[in-house]
Amino acid sequence: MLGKLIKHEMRATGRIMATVLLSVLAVTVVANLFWKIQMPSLKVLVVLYDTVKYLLLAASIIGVIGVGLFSIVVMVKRFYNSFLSNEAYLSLTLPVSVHQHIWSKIIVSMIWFFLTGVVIFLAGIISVLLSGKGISLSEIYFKIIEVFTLAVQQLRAENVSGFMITLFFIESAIMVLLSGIGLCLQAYVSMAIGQTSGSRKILSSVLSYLGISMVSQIVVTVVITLWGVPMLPIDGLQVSTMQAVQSIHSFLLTIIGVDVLLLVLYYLVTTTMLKKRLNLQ
Amino acid sequence: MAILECKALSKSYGLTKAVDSADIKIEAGRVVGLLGPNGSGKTTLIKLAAGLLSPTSGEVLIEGMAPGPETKAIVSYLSDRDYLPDWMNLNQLLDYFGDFYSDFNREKAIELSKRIGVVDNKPLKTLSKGTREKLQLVLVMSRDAKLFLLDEPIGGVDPATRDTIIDTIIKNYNPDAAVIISTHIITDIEKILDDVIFINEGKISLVESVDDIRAKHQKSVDAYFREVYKC
Repeated sequence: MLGKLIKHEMRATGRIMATVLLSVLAVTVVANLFWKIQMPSLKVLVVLYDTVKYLLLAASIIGVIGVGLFSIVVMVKRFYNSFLSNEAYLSLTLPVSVHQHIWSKIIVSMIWFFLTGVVIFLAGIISVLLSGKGISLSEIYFKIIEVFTLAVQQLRAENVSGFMITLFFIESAIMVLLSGIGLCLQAYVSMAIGQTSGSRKILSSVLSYLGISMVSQIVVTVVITLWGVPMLPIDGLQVSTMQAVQSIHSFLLTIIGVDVLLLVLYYLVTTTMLKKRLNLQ
Repeated sequence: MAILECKALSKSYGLTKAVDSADIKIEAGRVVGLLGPNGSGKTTLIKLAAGLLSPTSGEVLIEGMAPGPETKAIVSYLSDRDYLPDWMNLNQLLDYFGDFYSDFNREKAIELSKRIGVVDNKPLKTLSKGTREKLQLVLVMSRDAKLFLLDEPIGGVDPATRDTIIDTIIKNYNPDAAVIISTHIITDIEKILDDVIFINEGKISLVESVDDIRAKHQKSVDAYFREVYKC
């Protein structure tokens, strides 16, 4: 049933998300190409040309910034529609568990977050390629590889093991993944709590979100201050690069641990509220 | 085993008791009218059985099971709200029901959709309110469910549509299944009922067969209902 939920969730979000993502890429291409067009000689056309040029540039920048925000809005809207609006009478009478509902929403949101990231990256690449500075795609590719290789070589020169370097990349990837899931679950838990207040569910959801954000920030800050920061090398203390890297690993693992605990808590509260305190008045 | 059983079932919203210690047992093969004035607790009772609300106390059992994915697979529920997603078209809606309900009969749904005038694949948001209501009923009645929960299926529709809806219910429900129809418009629906449950202010005041009401009180269910609930 999870696969079927994902299929229909993709259908529900696919058209709007695909349109927005492709539009951002299209506007980026058009805006960059427009900047390369020869400026017209007629004065009236120069004004028009400049207006269109800057409008396209603004649209391109707003598009790249806005598309990330838009994917979050779509994620929130889908949860709201499925569990808090009239559509809940359809989705919540399906023979599927609350866990399957939640996971389908998280998975589809993560797919769109990933594709949004890809589009933002591609928009950057397109801008560089069409900037008129003669930079080719292969040059960009080799530059990225070069930067990575150089960083790895420097760490190796300082006797940092390959395992430690790989671990650092894995930890970074896990943190990115947890951030995405956290974004979803924090919104879900807020709405799951907010729906219990009946007619004021949107206001209650917003207030819940603010309250949860504040509490979780305090928890993360306290944990990092008490356990995370002492793990980091102190200024002025003579430590080897290997020791510094090990300290950063411990620090990252502490943050990952706190993140996981918070996410498990958000998940348990969300599923419990939807199972035991569902309030479709 | 009863298809639906409520044991001392209560549901409160704050200090208001929407359903108050309801004890009901409904056997398969019966068409039951859940009758009561507006705000009497009919919709809350149906939502509890559909698993859309959690009881404050007591329990509701479908084939001996508390509401969950297993009971939702055998219950076909018609809400009093318009729940059709605007972004879907008819084919997507049929795919949706077909994917999740193993007892969904797609051919029957297409045929019934044609009868109510939904033939092409336009987005559902372009359909009129009345057509959307009928389409919801078509989807619900195209399942071979064991329990049909129909919440106000004839509320707020014109008499012609009312006839179409009643006709759709009579011709399409599985005779081995139980059907619970909540309504306060009794005249049109009375002819298809086997039993009635009267509910007012959350309390069940009467559970009786239609034949017994007619024999005991020498009145139609509608006339008896008016007598019981007259202001």
